[in-house]
Amino acid sequence: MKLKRGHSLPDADHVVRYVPWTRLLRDEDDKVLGLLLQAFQLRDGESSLSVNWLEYLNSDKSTNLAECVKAFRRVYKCGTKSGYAVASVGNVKAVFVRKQRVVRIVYEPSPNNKAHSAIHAKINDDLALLDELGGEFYKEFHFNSKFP
Amino acid sequence: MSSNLQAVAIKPSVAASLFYMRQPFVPASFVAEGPLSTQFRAEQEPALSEATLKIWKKIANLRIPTRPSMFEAVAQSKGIKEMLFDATAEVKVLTSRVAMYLEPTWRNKLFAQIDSLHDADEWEHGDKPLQRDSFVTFLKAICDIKPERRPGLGLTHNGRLIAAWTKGASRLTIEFHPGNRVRWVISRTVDNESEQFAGDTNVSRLRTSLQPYKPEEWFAA
Repeated sequence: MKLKRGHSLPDADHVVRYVPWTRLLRDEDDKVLGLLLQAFQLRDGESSLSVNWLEYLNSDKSTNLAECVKAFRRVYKCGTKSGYAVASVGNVKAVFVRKQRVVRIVYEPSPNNKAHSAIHAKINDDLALLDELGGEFYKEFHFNSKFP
Repeated sequence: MSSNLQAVAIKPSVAASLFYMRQPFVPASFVAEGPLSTQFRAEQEPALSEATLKIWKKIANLRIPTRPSMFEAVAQSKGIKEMLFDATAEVKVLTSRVAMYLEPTWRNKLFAQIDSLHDADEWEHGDKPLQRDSFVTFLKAICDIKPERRPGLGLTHNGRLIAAWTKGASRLTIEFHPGNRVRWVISRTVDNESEQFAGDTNVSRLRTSLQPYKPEEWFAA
């Protein structure tokens, strides 16, 4: 499926969020238990959450995910202990609907990342929403070390 | 002392401790945050125990020889490894000065977790290392709450420490800000439905604000 810039991603498709080591929820022994809500906080100057559109390539899931990882590695450090969290667009939007927040998940390719997309919503002040978002994204999580 | 102090009837020893806590964490040449009367209007919480206040006074009185602006400028010119080493060394020095209030095993585990957070091989460009004012707020919280269970630690992109306690499907996440502020979130699953509660308060009120949610679920061994 081809989308134009600015168009919403289909609810049935998925987005992938890169999560660095310091934003993973751990126990005292550094065993990973989930995602911290801070993995979804916007940095100063950011207006949206960066994600990748998993189905951009329209191939099988394994190939799509490997390509997403390659794209992330061009932008981020991606240490072995960091990872990638996958969530369905529809389920992400449902989190915002439950919290009565407006959200748009749109396709926004960049020169070095054709699958780049963005979650547009005012969320930094709503810790409960960010926490629930973390729970949704952690349902499918892959460590960077898994990918060659 | 202003009439505001007399109205709330705070003991002078408590007043002195609260005054020290509201001082910026910088060498003595820097100006205090505000007049004492203003600080007290803001600090009208239930009085903490004398023991806790004594600890907090000690934390607040820690002096760092390097000015914040100088530290940041030097950090930009150093490599990442040196920057991370300096940041972790600084908070370890802070911790050692109140070490008598922390069990040795707690302290050693804390140092290991801080090192893990500042692993150069995992460090993302643009992130800030642990900021000392955030760590001071964390120390105050730990010295007051005295949790038996240790939290997992994390770090925001701008260097604020995160502590998270997890028990099954429920968790308590606390973010420690400069100026004695904390933001916390509780997440639980009840009857297959998730529920969240959040708060934003002064660290002196953290224990009180968590009480309705039975925090012993996370803090007790």
